[in-house]
Amino acid sequence: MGGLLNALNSGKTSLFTNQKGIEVTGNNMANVNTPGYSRQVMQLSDVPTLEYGGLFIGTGVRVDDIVRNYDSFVQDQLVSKQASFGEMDAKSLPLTEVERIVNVTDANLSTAVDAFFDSWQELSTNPSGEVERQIVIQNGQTLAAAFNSASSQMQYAQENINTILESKVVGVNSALQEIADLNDRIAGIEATGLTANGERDRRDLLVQDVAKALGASYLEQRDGTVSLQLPGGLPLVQGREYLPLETQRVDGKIEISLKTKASDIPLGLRDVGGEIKGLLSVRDEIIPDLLADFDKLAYNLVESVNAVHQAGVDRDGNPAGLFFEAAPLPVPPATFGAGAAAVMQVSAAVVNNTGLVAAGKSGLSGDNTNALDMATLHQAPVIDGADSFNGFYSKIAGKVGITINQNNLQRDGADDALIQLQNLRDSKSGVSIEEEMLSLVKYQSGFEAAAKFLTTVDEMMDTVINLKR
Amino acid sequence: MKTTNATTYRTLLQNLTRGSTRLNDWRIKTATGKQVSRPSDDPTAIRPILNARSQISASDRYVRTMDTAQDRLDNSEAYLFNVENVLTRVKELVIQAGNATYTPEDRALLANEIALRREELLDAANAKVDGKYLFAGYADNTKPFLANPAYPGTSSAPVIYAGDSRAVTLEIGPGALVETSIPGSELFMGQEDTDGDGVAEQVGIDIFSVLARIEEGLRANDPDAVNVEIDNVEEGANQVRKLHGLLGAVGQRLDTARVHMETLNIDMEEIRSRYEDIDLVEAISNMTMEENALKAAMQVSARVSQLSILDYF
Repeated sequence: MGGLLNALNSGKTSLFTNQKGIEVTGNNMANVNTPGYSRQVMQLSDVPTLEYGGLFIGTGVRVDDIVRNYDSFVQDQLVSKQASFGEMDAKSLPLTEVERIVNVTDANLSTAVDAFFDSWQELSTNPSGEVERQIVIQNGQTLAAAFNSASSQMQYAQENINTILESKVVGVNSALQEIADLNDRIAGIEATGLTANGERDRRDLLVQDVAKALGASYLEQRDGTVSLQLPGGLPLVQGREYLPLETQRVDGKIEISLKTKASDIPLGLRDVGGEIKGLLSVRDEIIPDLLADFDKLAYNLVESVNAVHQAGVDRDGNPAGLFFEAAPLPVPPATFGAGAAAVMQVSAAVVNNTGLVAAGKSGLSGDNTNALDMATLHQAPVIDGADSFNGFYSKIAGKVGITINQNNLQRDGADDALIQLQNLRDSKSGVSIEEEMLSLVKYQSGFEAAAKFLTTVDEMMDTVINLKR
Repeated sequence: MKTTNATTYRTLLQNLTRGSTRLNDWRIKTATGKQVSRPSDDPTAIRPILNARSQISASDRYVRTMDTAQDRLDNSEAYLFNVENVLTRVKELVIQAGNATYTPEDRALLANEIALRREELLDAANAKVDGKYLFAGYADNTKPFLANPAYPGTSSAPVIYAGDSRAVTLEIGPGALVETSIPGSELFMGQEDTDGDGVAEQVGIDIFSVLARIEEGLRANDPDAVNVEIDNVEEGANQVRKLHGLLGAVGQRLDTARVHMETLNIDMEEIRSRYEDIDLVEAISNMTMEENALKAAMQVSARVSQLSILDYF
């Protein structure tokens, strides 16, 4: 009987194991669309053998573990690619906004420059003309408004980035906290010898998120926890502890810092990566650089136009004043220079009195000499002695175009690489319906065979019991 | 390598997204007719495009300035013809006055006509177009020629010049300046600022004085005094003709400059177009190509999603 009972037992383990296999398969199928889910497989071994009269016969099957199909190399690659993709991708939105400001359509800053000098040229054909003077003033105002709006829209783009940064930090903090919590659970579960599959999947995904947002890198410890650190080396997560990021408005800008027990460590461009680095570099490098260019253009234009204007006289023969001046500001940078584009405006006196436009140098009604001088400024290499106003503007626009082109190219490249890596990860860890369907058939037939086996053993036992009748 | 459902859909999604983005780019380019509408479309094309646009608007303006200049020249020339006719007539009268058979009454009649001609000359000299005095230099809202109240007492000049001695210049090309007016001081008074000190020197004939002296000589019945003025009348006429010729030369220069500017405009338009405008044939064929690629990608998506192992169990 011992033999038959053993067979009964081995049939039972087979039945249970195949059923377990169906459950695992079912769970894999259920998670076919779960992001970050790794396909789980049973690890089986046969139950240690017993000796029967010198022969060793196994006594069934046993489930050793349910493990993830997993490749840590691919995960490493994914994490680092997410960081570079995040950086390029986060830049592209604000850069599109910048590109809209530095546009090259029919109505842009350079056409406003053209129109302004054209109106001086027109004034030179009729220096005492009231209409021509009005047009000079109006085109001057349009030009100043074009500079003002370019400057304010750039600042608006910076403010948009501030808002995005604030919400990103909230997301990163909750991800960091969850990673620390998962570290705790995983260490706890795995200390008992089990595998925390779901928790690890979830954590892998969060690590990718944090890498995308911050460029953080990770390192798995012996106890199953991961440590995260910033590209600059500052720690983010260590075991069950994490350091949250903090945002603070300093001089109208959102500054990000790492809150440690001792103090807050301000994070600069060098300390971070990913989306936050991308956003910071647009806000703190690209836009300020462009603003400085606009200011330089505005400053040179204002200074040279004013110099020519002041060399002339107004309609009454009095020495002419400034044509452009700085707008009255609450806290006045009274002089031009930094912020010139923002504060440029046509002198209020000139706006109110067309007679103050200096068309000539003698005060005589037909004197157009100053208007002619002004018109020649249009093509003069005023900026650094090399570029005309429009030449300099095309440099700015070209620079923006190149930056955007480069970024798009890098982003598409990172995107391609990311998709390839995700496909690679899928080939190892992903759930394929076909594969699971076949597993299902496999376990089903295993289950059926086990049942058949049990029936057979049962019949055999019946036979044995009926022997005594 | 195992292909999972997620792999398939991810790849399909990428293909469809990239395909429709590319198609959309071509649609925008075809619809706007421009291959550069943003700096990133072609950063190297921006400078030539903006420069060409700037040049085009500048040359449009130069052509309009030339129109204005031509109008001024035409107006001045009409009055100069008038002035030359007056001087020719004056010369005839002076020659007539030398006739020995003429009586003092005949000469008085001639003197009356000279007086009329002088009025005519003064009217021409004070000619106004569009509310502006043609021969007043920069002072085009000041009546340039006025009867001298001190004449014939203390002053020998019957007419004084109240205008400005500079010619109005217009720019008809980059740095190309043309004089489109003749200051009345030079034309009628023979005064020119030769040394550039702002004060005009007498270098030619004061036509009004000549006419005044002829009239006085006739009224005084002094044929000899009249006779000596013949050369002056001739010289005065030359002075007018010379300046008239100068205006004519400017007119010719305008004609050549206009042709040049119009050619430049066409060249610039060509450059702008080459960098900015789209080749419609190429664009449409590219668009069709992308359309086909997208259709193929969509068809593949449809086929892939039909395929399932579940249909075989």
